[in-house]
Amino acid sequence: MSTADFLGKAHTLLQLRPKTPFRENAWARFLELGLPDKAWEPFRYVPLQKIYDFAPAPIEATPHFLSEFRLVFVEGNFQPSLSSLPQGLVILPLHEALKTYGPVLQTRLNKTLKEETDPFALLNLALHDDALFCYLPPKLQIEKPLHIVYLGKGAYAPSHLTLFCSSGSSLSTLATTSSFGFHHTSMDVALEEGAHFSHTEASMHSGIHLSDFKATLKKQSSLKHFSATAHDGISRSRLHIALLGEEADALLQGLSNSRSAHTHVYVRHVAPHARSLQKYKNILKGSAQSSFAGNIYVEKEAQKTEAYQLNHNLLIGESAIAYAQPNLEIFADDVKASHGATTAQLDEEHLFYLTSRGLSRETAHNLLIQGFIQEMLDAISHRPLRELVASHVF
Amino acid sequence: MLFIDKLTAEIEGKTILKDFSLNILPGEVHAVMGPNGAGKSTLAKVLAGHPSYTTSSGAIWFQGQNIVEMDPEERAKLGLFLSFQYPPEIPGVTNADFLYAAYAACKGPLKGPLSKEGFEPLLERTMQRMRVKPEFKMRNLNEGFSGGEKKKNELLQMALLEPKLTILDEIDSGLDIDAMKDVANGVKALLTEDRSVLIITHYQRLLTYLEPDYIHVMVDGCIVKTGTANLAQELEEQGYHVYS
Repeated sequence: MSTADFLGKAHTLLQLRPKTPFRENAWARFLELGLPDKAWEPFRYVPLQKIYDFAPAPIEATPHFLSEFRLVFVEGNFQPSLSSLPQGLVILPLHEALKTYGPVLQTRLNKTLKEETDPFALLNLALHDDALFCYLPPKLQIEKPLHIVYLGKGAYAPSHLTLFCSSGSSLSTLATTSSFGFHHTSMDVALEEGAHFSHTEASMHSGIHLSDFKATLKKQSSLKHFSATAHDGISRSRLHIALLGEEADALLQGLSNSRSAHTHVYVRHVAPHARSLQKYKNILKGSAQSSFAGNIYVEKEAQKTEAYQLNHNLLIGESAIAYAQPNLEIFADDVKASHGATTAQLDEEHLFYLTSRGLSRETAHNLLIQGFIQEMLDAISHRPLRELVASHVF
Repeated sequence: MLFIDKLTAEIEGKTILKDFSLNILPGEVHAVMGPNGAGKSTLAKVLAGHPSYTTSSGAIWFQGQNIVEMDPEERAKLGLFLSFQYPPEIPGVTNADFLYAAYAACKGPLKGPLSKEGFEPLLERTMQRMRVKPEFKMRNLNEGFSGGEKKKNELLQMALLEPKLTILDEIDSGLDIDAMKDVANGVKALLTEDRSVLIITHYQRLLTYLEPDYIHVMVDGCIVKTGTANLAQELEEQGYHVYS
């Protein structure tokens, strides 16, 4: 499919949606930027043509529910009847939320439209059916995780979730997709002072997964984000994080064993004394390809920033390729920042050590791969999800 | 037990072992000493089956079989154990998992299948016997271990796998006197009349605590002199250059 065809289909879908100024602005902005091609730096290694060639595959996958609390989306649309909410969490369609939380929300949405540089993020904002707004009141700390389940029937399914975590609140979410279609998810999270949010997403089914995640962190708030993919399709995870308050903390991690896994992270340190860590590991079998673009931007006033980035790639396949692009722009002078990337095959000396103890080469292989991913699996605190990921990624 | 018959081995086109021969009987302790570059570590690796080395001629008879074509795992199952000079650190793999896998691979065929739960008490008893701290189990394989702890881990494996032939590749390197005495005692405790040890070392001090039956001087890829334990003292006084 040419990009013109893809645009045509997108436009057709747009016509089916309720007309709102926001949606029209998002579409206009999207057209301004246009669909990316390989010359665009953030998309250099992403198999764009395969994305544009997407054809629906009407195969459903069986969902696994991992928590008593869940938000269920079918084909990108929120299904209240299938969902189950924790006490105190407020859920509204976005257009209704604009009436209640108007000014703050409108400002945020306008800012997004104005500053967004990722065309797929804008496409999602234009095409999603009914965005969901979640509000966590001040000091509400929800112990059990909220499972966001994206069900689909194999078609293009855009969905958007805006989450507002008031001061002192805390929530953790798990997200899984269950179809072989084109899941286009978008989350926009605002963390107020002292709010804590943890999000773990796992895509274990083939297809196309575009995930856009934005977060703003105010003073002493913390964010943990974990992305796991293990499938034969294409995943692109894009994170845009702004540390706006002092002592904010962002821990961004990921693990992949997919045919085509791409991660684009942008962390902006605006306030001083904030901390961020990006840690991503990829396993590449056969002729898999992965790319990791990690950006750290430290503003002049962001003194005493600590910003770290690690990307480790394990090549198991003969024709596997991993790309790693660190990018650090640091304008403050009292900063601790570092980046490191390794791309290697299994260590022959390690293999020799293990086989010299009687282990078959295959067992030794598997033990080393397990060793490579173990610390990332350990970072998934939700046990059933960790086991689900472990069963697929290994 | 072990008969190395005129073995020539090379790596990346460079011949290191040249017509090397050595005979070790069950229950014997042999030491191979020599200057840097003699090929001592190569000998250890070639015996264990390191894939980077090729044997161009000769044979290695172990337990009645010529093991020259065998993979490292097959040699281990026959009862050959190499204690590494620099045991590698393998992150993400616990000591317990590794020891279980090694035990299952080497002892499984003889003693029948053993579950991980069944292995636990054996591991704990052996750790106690070898004076290895309990927290060792859950630490990652050799990760963050001191030199002495790594060597102790090698001995622990030796105690669990009960090999017929143990090759100690410079087990004394990087150890202080006390740690070395511990290692020597650890090895002595595992010796039985059907097991043999081949000690590869630079310095004679380990041999004071672990007395060999025979000492061989290796220079430039083969053995140039064989003697009994007193040869160590001679070498200490004269050095190796007498033999080059």
